[in-house]
Amino acid sequence: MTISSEELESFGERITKLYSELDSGPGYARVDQSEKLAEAARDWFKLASALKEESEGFLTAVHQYEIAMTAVLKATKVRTRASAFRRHLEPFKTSFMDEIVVPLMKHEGSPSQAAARQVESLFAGLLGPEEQAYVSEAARCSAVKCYRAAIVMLWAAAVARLHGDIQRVGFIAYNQAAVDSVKKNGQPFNRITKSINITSLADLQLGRDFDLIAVGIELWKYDLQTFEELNRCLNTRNSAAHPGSFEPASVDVHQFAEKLKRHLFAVVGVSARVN
Amino acid sequence: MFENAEPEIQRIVTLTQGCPERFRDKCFELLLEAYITSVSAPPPPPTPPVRKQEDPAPPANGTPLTSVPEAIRVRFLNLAKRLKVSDTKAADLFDFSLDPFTYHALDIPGASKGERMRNVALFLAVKSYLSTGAWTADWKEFRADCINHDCWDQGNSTKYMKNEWFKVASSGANITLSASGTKAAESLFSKAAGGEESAA
Repeated sequence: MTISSEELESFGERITKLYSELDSGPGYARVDQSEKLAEAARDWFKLASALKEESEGFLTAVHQYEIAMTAVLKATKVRTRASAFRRHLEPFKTSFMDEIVVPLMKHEGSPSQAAARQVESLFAGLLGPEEQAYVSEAARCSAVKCYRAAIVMLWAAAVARLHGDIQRVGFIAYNQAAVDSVKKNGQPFNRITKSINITSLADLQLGRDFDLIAVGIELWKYDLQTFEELNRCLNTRNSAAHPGSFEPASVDVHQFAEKLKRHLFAVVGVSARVN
Repeated sequence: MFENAEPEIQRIVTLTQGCPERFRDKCFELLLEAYITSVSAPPPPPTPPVRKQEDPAPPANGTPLTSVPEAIRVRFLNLAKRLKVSDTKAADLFDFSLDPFTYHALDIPGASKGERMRNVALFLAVKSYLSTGAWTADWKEFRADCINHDCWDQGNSTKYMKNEWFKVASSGANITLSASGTKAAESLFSKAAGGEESAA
């Protein structure tokens, strides 16, 4: 569950409204008010637990609002004066915005979070659900500065696209393209695994990524330069996935994503998505 | 040409006499050669030290350009060149030790909240241009920066951002600069980097 500052802001407004509806005199809160407050308290516990999970400790004030809401929830179980509810809700009215919403806004607007959103937005409208899941995971990796992991997940999205389109055109077509590719001389055809015979998705998943992109010259009719760009991406992915001195930065992740978008997601399986 | 040669040659002979006998011929030859060279061609003017291209030494107080991430260096230098600003001064505006890189503390110009909000967006667009090549800004980053610079006005943000500089500027669609916005962003950045151009 991802909590946005907008959701929190709207929750704060909801509590402020409930607060202002409570009578400031010595009277008791009405039953409907008490029910609404109990519902709001339960919602807050869900929000608070998600916030604590996601905020990496920067929202230290959440706990004191949990204490306040616990008091509200307890008070809804018995007949309680409206002024008592108002007292419990006071922190939400006075400091919730400054202590909870604004820090979350600043966190959301940090350069790391912005860079992660940029990576995800690059692929807007280009991805299927499976590919989207990998790209979203890559963005989350980028947001926490795990750039090598982000590159690996972006490549996973790319391979998901290749596998998906091979399943669409059929294994026979892929096998035939592999046979035709192997017959050709020179690089990169002489590096393709001989006698490829894919009969299932499992076979495809066990195959080499290099074979996919090299056979792709025949299957998807892209040119050698596109293959070379994809092969460079594969090498980058391998550097990211294996021990070594490779230390990509945020801009490297962005550039990697841009290359995949341009040379793979805009080339392979596009007609299938349009149809 | 040789009007003053006699005393010099006499001196050479005297110096040669001071050498061991087996070296005298060679010594005379070397000294004579040195004398002829000295009278036949003026000494070359001292050349300024040549700076190696791959190792540009920065001014004493500037940010070393090597700290600019390689992935953006070409775009960064081209922008500085196009805006006619010192690349080290432009680099000083950023903290490249952070990843993703960001601005050092900036003094956002502007007489009103609206003007300062628009300038925050322009500065962010320059940063985005350097890292991605697109003159855009992330809305949430923009909002956070405005909060940090004490110029965020939630109620009026849409009104303030309705300006010819922005093709789009909303929480749902982020911020994209128009051609005039790009020019305004370049002017603002140039001014911050000590250039001559002022913000539009």
